[in-house]
Parts: sequence; C-alpha cells; structure tokens
Amino acid sequence: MNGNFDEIIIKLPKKAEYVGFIRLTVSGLVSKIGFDIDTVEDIKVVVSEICTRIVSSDCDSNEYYDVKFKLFTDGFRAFFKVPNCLADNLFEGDSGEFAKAIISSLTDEFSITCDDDCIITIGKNLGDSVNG
Amino acid sequence: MFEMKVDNPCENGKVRIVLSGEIDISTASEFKTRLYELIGDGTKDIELICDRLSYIDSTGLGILVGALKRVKNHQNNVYIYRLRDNIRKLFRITGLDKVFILEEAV
Repeated sequence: MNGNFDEIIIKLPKKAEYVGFIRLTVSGLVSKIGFDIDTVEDIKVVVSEICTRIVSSDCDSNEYYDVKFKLFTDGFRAFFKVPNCLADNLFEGDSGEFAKAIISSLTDEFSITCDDDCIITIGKNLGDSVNG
Repeated sequence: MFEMKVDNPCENGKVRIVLSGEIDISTASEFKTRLYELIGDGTKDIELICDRLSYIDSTGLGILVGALKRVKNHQNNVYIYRLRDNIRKLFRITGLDKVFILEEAV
C-alpha cells in the first residue's frame, strides 16, 4: 500500500457496547475503498476480534484505547493502541489463540508490538477482493 | 440480539439447544451461564442447532470448547448442526471443525 491515504482516528472506551459500533464503522470505511462484500465481512470479524481482546483484557486501568485507520486506494491498514499492556494479556487462553488464528487468516498483515503500549497492526490489500 | 432455546423433549436423550442471533462479547456471558447450566455435570450429549446463529466470535468459540471438555469427561459429545458458511469458516480457520462433530441434518 503506497501513496496518499485518508486517516481516521477514533478513541474508544474499553466497553463491550462499542465493539458493535466499530464493526459498523470499519464496514463503511472499507466498502468505500471497494472491497467485495465477503472481504468486508472478514474485516468486520477481524476488527471485532481485536476490539474484543482489548476490551476483555486486564491491561491496566486505562479506560480508553485508540484506533487509527489508513485508507489507501489499494487497501487499508488499522492500528490499535492499547496503553500499558502486554501481548500475553491480550491473547491469553483458548479464545486468544482462536482470535489470533482468525486475524492471521483473514488479513494480509498482522503484527503485535508491545513496549509500554501495545500496538496491534492489521492490513488488507484490495487485490482481487474488488466489489463488482 | 441473541436467543437460546431448549428444544424439549429431545427423544434421543440428548439436550437440544437452538441458538439464534449473535454470540459476541456483549452476549457471551449469558451464553456461557445458560449453556453450562444446561450441560450440568456433562452426563448427556449436547445438540446445538445453529441455522439462525448469524455470528460467533473467539469468546463464544472458547465457551464451546469449555462445554465440550465437560461432556467429554463423561464420554459424551457436542453435536453442532447447520452452521452458516461464515461461521463454518471460523471453525475451519481455528481447527475446531476437527474437534466438534459438525452435521447438516439433525
């Protein structure tokens, strides 16, 4: 993914009721790029999985996390920034392993980098997943 | 929106549960509580009818695995019927299609 992009930044409360909101939001954003309906559904699943892990983790008492979307002409990237967290806290147990498998399988790019904060990055190329 | 209904009486001695709607972080707690109540100590097979289940996330899948462990302790099983394609895909990705018995016809 290269060239110009639009950037959207959202600060979300760590509450379950906002996971549905972010699913709908990303659906609208990636549809705009031109992904087909199956890929849009996959991206919704991926974003939902990441937000669910963040919301259900016991990473410190910070009440918010940041989501940044970069919309390119040929794909999109999303960055989830979770303050004061470890990767093991985010993806622990059976559910965490399932989430990682789902995210890896449905994206072209998936990484977790944790220092003081954890940054989860995902990306999806438009490729052949073009609507119409 | 999530609904869970027990389809009684199940003539074959199994506990039949009809699932509909979405199982995600908002509904997982209710799903887990009610499912584990129905499973009890795991002495019966469980049948999950899923043709009206539109979504399940990793939290829900983890709950299903917990349920399977309970019934397996008593040599019983969890049978899952009529999964929609989008959910079957998640079972395949996570390898759970090899762990659960997935069937089309009840």
